[in-house]
Amino acid sequence: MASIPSTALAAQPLTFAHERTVPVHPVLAPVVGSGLVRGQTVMCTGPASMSCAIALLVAPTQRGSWVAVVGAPFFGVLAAADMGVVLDRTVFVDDPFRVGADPANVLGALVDGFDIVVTSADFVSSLAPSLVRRFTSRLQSRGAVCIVVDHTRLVSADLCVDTDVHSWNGIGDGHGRLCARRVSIGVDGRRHRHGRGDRPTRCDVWLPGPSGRLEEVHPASEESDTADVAENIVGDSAVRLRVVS
Amino acid sequence: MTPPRCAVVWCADWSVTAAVLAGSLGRGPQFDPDAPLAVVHARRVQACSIAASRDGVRVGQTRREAQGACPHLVLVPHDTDRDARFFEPVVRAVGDLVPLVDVEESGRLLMATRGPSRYVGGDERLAERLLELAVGALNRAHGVAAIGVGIADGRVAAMLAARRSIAVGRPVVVPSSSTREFLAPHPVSALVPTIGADPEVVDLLRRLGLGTFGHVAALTSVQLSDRFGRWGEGLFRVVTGTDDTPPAAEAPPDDLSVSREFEDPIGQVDHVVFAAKSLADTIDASLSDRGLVCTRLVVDIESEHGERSSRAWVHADGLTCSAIVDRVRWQLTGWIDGDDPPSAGITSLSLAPTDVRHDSAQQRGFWGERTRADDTATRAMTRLVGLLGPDAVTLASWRGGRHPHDQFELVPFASLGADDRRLIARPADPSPWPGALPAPAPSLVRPEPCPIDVVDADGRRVTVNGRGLMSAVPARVLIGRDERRVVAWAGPWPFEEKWWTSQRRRAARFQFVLAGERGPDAYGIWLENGQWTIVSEYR
Repeated sequence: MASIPSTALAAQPLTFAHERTVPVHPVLAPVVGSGLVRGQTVMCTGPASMSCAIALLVAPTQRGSWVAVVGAPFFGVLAAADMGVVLDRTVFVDDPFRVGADPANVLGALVDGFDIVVTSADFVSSLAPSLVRRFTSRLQSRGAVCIVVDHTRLVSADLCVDTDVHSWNGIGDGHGRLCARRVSIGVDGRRHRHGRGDRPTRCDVWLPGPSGRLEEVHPASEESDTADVAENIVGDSAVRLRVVS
Repeated sequence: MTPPRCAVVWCADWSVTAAVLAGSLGRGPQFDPDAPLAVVHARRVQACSIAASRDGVRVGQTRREAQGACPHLVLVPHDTDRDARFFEPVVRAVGDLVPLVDVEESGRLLMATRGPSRYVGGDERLAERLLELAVGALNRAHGVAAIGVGIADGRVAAMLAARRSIAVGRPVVVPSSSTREFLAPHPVSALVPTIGADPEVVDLLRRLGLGTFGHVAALTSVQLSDRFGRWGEGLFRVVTGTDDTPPAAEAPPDDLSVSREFEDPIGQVDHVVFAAKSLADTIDASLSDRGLVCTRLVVDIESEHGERSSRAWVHADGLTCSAIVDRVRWQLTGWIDGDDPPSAGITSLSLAPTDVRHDSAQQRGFWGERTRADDTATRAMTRLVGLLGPDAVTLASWRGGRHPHDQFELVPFASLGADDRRLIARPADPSPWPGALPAPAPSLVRPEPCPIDVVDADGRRVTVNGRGLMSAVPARVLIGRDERRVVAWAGPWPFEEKWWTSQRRRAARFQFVLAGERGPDAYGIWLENGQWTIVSEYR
């Protein structure tokens, strides 16, 4: 009997830190990598920061991870649902300052219980710097991922996902409607090694695409993509946008 | 095996009665007992008053159907705590005669009749005494309830007898020999309130041509279990009146009961409930280790002066951790608000599961839909509720609506599961809501709209008239001291909501794309009462 545990130990593969990850949406994988490393802090910045943070939640929640959203009362629940985030595993937690609770305890409970904690730069800025340091080190020991929406100098992000908006399709001068947004996503950060393999540092995606989901931009059929989208609007909006009296 | 003979005391539509009682005692809004009242929960009518049912309101209707049937229907807020608290006098009155009473839910009591029946001299006599006691207990406050008492072999038969008793206005006693004949004419829809059957399954039975208990009983146990699995087997026993106690109820292991003594007597309900939470966790852990669920729990509370409150709680599906905590709270508040409140702080609390059964029927999925992550997250949420308060930890539940902020409702985690409150998932292909803007939805919804100004090329404010026509083409948007150029815009999409109430709302919706440093930014902008505001951002 004594030999069984040692055999099990030998059979157990060795796991490196960068292999303990939470999954990433396949469209983002070429630039962000196949997974977010547990224990790291990810900062989403730029004019599509919120959509980008939501897009990062899609794959983990679909694979059974739990997400807590704290200090971000503006989180677009409908957009998250459209994007494919599983809301059954997304928990919204009130700002501890609003109810007069100790933020240290609350952050501790969040890191212990959830795989991903989403928060806003404003909320992080309202915390004491020492508390932020304790929070990030606890993240590392518990293996959770923290996603901060918008830039703050209080945390030094391991991975910074930056966005630039290329164009909004489907809307004109007094006609059409917002339909799809082409966003260029770039990755930087102190733990991100440039030029590893053939991974590019920027890529273009539809965030959101016409259905509200994250979609790939096909370089070959770029022109027809745009045309499709435009056609989509005309057909779609004519049927669905009826004015209510 | 003959099922044990049971008595059921049933107060029909208890939530309505409890609300009226609460109002008449000044513990809540006042309701006129003769007006049509309905308690609506999860968008369906849960209970309605006699006046309402005369107008065609039925339990299970949607709110809209109910209001259609009876336009002057008064909606009563749903409150399980209130229901439990005001049922207390009935439980106490019956408890004086029959010491072992199970509270199945607020409004329904179940007891074994063997001892008490011999004591008072027969089932008929017992039924009359029970009715007198229950009516007496409620009359003292206000007589509005319809109460029925039924005695029969087995829980379901007794419950149906109690229902019949409400209709005929006197106790109904079903002799042991004719249980099956008594059950046969009852419609299968009666399975919903009695054994908690899924309405969809009941509908399926009806579509299969099995309209009554008699029809189902004419099949064999094998046929039913072929079609419905284990549930079918149980169903066969129910409809034939042979055995309807939860299957394989067994004597619980001795080490399951837990108790806690408080050195300093506790004067606050919340503190006792908090202690109950940790006890409930212990019970839950030791039961789930053995693959058992608790179907009957005895809660014992003792005060410093030796006063005691002891109560058995039954739940056929098994009591979850939060359900146990709720029941402790109900019992405690009922005791404190009752006629005989404790005169000192609480010194001891004990929870004893007295009936357990195997968890097989409830376990989901083979590799467990409940994963380790689910358990850790649930524990963390419970802890956060303790730190931040019951309403601070929420999950999104779909309810539909016109605007992005309407479509999901944030439901407190603490209220989930307590009274069958569940998260509602968005249907895979929801019917379009008239007047809703199509996808994509804004990723950022402002909790407080931000006032702005929209001006045309000459710097004059843009307005929209009553017919939805704009005064000029918008050229720039002023956000605070920032001035931003309009790249593209669309709208107006006017809407007018709730014009039949005081919450009337009328606005024109727009989408604006404004020039930004790092590419165009899109906003959802409304013009309401002459004021332009940013309500959402596509960030």
